[in-house]
Amino acid sequence: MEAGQLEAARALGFSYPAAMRLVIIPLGIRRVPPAWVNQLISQVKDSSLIYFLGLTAGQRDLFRIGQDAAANTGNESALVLAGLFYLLLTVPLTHLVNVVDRRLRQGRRVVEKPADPPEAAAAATATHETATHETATHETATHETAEGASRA
Amino acid sequence: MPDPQQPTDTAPAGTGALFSPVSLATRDLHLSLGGNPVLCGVDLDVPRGHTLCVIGPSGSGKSTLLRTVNRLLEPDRGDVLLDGESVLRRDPNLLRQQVGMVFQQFNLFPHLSVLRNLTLPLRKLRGLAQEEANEAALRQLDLVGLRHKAQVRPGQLSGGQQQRVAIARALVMAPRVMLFDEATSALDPELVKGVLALMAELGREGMTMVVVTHEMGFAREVADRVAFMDHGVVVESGSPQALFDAPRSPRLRQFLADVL
Repeated sequence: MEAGQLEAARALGFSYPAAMRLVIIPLGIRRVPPAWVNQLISQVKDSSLIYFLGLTAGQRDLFRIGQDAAANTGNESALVLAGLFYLLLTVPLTHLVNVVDRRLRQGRRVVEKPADPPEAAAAATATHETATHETATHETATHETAEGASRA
Repeated sequence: MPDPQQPTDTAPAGTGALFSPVSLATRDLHLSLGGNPVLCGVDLDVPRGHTLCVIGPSGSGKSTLLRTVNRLLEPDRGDVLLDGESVLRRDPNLLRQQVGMVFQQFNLFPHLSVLRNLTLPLRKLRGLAQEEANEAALRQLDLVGLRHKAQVRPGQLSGGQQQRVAIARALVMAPRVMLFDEATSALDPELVKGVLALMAELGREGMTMVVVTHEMGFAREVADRVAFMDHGVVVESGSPQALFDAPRSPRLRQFLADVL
């Protein structure tokens, strides 16, 4: 947390508790969920390592199931399938973390704008910005899918 | 060099601030931070409605000086007077509502929309209803030319726009004196002009202002008085012409030679 936020709140005349309650804590809370989802993603991936820590004979993780199937049949596609399952879990989570992160940083997609008494110029700018923004979102999504796949 | 007379697309039509400015004076201010003396007896006088520009090298105590005015820092010795009344005898939170401060790093609240950055203090400190607060905030945003950005988050604005929002946030509280702490130092060069124009406008409208700045052009054009600080003391102060055209002290001469 930048000290500047607290200083700014104090300079406006907020007491220390009010500055904490209205600015610092809400800011802090917003930093947590993206980190949580990231953690979840890496735990899904790391679950394949549980084999090394030891499971009972009856317990097998996703990767192990795939490997056993491949060993039994001599067909590697079982491993590929296991990989696809990992992707199935992590790609949506990666998207989720991006959506959550962007939402927390930039707020709700601006929907109030048309309701605003719009001067023609402002309205034109707004429309343009929304369009640009959506293009950017799409690009991010494509990029993340590729990245998610390669990581998994 | 900013030309306050020249309207640009970013220059405001007027800040429209309703204010009753106060005079500001410091008396023999001393302050040490972490054992280092930062202010070593600062005496300044800013008459009502005047603009004082404080210049000087980094670490000379300029920013610290500003922070003693609204008691973000408490002086070890000495006093700050607003209309002759000591700030040290006032409730700091009420005092700060009357002292607007603008920071180098803008310090807008990133989780709130531009509009909510302005309405938060109005609602929580002035006790305005949401409707009234919105109206006042939008009016103020209009005056800094950013009404159309009311709903976006600060992070989506340029530095210059953010700083103008920060100035609007300070003004919407109807401060009686404004403090600017290197308000344009963090801006890209092409964004500086709009912010300086807004500050100059505010000065013309009669706000009492203390402006810590590295913009010598601004100091020369807008300031009623300029004070040069070094090592915690005011080495020299006077009219901009006197300081820039005929500096007396060797330290000021050296400083001007370094920055101009």
